[in-house]
Amino acid sequence: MNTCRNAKARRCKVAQQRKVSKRRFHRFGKKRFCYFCDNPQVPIDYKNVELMKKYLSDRGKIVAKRISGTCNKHQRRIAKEIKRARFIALVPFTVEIYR
Amino acid sequence: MATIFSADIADSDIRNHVADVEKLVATHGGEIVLTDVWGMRDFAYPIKKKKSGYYVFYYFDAPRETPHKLRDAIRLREDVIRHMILVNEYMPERKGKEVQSGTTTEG
Repeated sequence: MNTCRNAKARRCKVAQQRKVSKRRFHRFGKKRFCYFCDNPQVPIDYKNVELMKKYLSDRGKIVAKRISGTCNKHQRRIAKEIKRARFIALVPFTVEIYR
Repeated sequence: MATIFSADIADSDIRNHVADVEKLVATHGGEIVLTDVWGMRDFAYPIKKKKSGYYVFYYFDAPRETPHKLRDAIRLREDVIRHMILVNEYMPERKGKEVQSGTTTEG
């Protein structure tokens, strides 16, 4: 009985540790917020290559809003601008990663 | 309007090519507000087997029918390897003036 309880407690502890370790690996930090809602003065423009690259994965894919924390409105906007930047070859459509 | 000129053009000639496109905008009823020359820049992926091109951004006021005509004219030019005409939302800070330039077209 006692061992069983201990085992349960141990499992619980392990699970908690996993949760903590998972949180550490969030790319955009634990607390996610919309960068553009907090900084309305920042223009979402396809010519701002550095900003566009911030919202691209290492494969060149657009980062999902659940990952980046961007709100619905600004996610639509940034996706549009990334597609414009892709067309004039400022950012890539795809990035090849060799293993 | 974003334009990419071919990298094959000689450095001495590029100004003439940039000015030619400015004139082209004017002949189609556009009024140039600002020409933003970025210069030679590497592409993120090859375009027509080229790795770099000369980037120029034109900001202009124009009536509704201009972008359509201008696109047809630009496509005939061999020196412009890619272009994109958009309604401008952000003006570079140097002028600080809001500009609307016709309809949104990509191509």
